[in-house]
Amino acid sequence: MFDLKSRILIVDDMLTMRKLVIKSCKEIGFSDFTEAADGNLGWDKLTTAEPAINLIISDWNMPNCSGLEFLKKVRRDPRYAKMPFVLLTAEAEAGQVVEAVQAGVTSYIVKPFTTAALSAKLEAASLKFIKK
Amino acid sequence: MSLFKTDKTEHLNIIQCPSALDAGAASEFAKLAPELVTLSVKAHVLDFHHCQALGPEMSRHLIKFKRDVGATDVQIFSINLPRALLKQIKESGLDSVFNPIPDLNAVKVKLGLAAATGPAPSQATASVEFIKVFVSAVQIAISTQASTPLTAGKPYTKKEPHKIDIGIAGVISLVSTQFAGTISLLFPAKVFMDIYTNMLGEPLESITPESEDAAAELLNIIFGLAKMKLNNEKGFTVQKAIPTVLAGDKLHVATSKSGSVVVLPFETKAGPFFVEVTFEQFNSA
Repeated sequence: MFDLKSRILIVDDMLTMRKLVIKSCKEIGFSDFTEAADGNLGWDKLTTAEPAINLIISDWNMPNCSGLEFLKKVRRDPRYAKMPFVLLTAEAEAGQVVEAVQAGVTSYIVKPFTTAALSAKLEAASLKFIKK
Repeated sequence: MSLFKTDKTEHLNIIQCPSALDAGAASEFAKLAPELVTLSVKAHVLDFHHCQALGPEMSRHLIKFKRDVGATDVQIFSINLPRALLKQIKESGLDSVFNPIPDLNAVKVKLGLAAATGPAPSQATASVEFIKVFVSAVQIAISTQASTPLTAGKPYTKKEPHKIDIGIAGVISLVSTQFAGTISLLFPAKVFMDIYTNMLGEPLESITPESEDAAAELLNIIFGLAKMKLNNEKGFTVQKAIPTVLAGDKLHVATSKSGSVVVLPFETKAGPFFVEVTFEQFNSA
């Protein structure tokens, strides 16, 4: 699992979902969070956060800059090419999963999710991260 | 050469939109529109397949175009809309102008020019399939994401307003090749406050804008679950949609008079809440 001291950037246009992700992450044991309401704002947070972000959990469907666009932007920057990036979405259609994998997503969570499911996905994401 | 390529068939005029519907494209469309209005067709179909951006000038010209062709009973449809543009259109309240629909076949089905594709279930079969999917989606969403145990009651056709006052309601459109409709999630204030508290671990004393966001998120999750099931397993083509949330005393969600409203009642320890489904199937063979 990721170091529980990791700083997590949570990106979602819905305040409720950001709160839900934080609630579950706290239950897992994380305590350091920063939030953004879309991919553009997420990018600003990622590039300016002090201390630095260690993990991103982002919604897929957001105005201005979607989760997928944000993911692509993150992966294009060599500084964040290996940044663990987990996408959260209300629908998992085959085409979407393929697109996300091609864009370099680390893991993928479908809403609704339980804390146990989120924990398992983060565990899997951390293993991929360590392998890199 | 025009930015807009048109292809007129016997009943339809298909207009291929350029990659950016900016001020320049809008100006060109304005010049083209008077000629399009005179065409003898059942509908103009705007194909957004290659389009990535839609500016306000183009929206204004389309509103005028819609008004002009409407006078001749010719319809307008928008097909192959990228997700972001569909969201932009819905958020700006221009659905009725653009009339989004998945693809050309859906237009033909709607106009009675082609048979419905996919499983083409009968109205009754489709309704039952639909209701089962939404009952399941509500149960999964509320029990998993809101940590609130619930039981589903027997669905019934709505004959009169609910006897319990509704304090918060979310509505989302259903748009598909095969049907159109709405899903409404109706909570008495007390029940919603209990669900909110279970979901976020924060007590809620009254309905606030922040809690309205929670209702929208729940409806998003229910819709996402149902859409996934309907599209992946039942052969439907439900499109992405954006929920609208209303809060107030004794809310009543008015629905189309053309179709019946099916009420799915659910019971939680804090009381009941309701999901209303309206459903109108398009012409099929």
